[in-house]
Amino acid sequence: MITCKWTSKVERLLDGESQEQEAVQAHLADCTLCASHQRTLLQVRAALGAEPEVPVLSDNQFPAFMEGIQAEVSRSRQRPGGMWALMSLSAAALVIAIATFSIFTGPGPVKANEVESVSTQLNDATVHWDNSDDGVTTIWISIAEDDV
Amino acid sequence: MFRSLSVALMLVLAFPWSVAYGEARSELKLWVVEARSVEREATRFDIGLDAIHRVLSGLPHNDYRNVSTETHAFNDQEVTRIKLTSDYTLEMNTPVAGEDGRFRVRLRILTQSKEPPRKEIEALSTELLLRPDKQVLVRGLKLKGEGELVLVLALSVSDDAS
Repeated sequence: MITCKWTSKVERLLDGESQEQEAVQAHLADCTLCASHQRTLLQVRAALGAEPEVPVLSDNQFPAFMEGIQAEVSRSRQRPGGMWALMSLSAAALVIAIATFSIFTGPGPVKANEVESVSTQLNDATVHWDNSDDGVTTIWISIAEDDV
Repeated sequence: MFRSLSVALMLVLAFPWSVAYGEARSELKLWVVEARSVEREATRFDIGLDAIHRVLSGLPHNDYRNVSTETHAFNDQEVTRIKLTSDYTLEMNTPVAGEDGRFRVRLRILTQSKEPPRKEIEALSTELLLRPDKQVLVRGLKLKGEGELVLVLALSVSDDAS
């Protein structure tokens, strides 16, 4: 492999660190090896410059970075599931309201016995009915003495 | 998590509601009694009439014979016939629950007509709205010999699930 002792100077020139820029420029005009090396370096740097810059986290930014992660994690834990949770809670509240209404209002007090209709086909007989104070209904078929 | 809790809560709350408004089965308790007035100071009740002493004590008799005691559980849409005595038959349809907690019952007591041609007639035909566990007393039908036929009916209701 053929090398030139000026290659390191060419590199420093590209890095902007050269103390002898004019001499290196003059050498590049005469040395095809260094000129080729310079082109290669320029191509590599151009390719690296096309890649997106990766953000670098400095030490003083790290605590803020961790706090942000913690805050986001705790916020996602508190979120109850959006629309589904709202609908479920609404349905549960409705059921509670209906059940409470049913339990506390109830069907109301049950009325006493009632005779809606009463009749007999027996001769000389009549039928009466009444309710006693304790809720017993009496239906009384009154028949003439000589009729069985 | 929230969805599961909500569904469980709905099921728990819906359970008593469904029981309260579920189908109910009715059962009839029937006492068939021969009531007479005899020359005796004390009133006598046959064994088996303990539950209806209070109802019978309002009648103008002092001797109560237990002809029969029956408990009948109704099925859907049936007409029940129960032979009371040689002269009388009770016919009753299945009680139908009303919204007010009472049960609608059609009740007939059938007998043979006195005059020929003898045919089945209604000694009593009535339609009742019965409150469960409140008794109904039917009286006045004459028996052969002496005394009168007394019926005491009480409807009880139980939930279908039980």
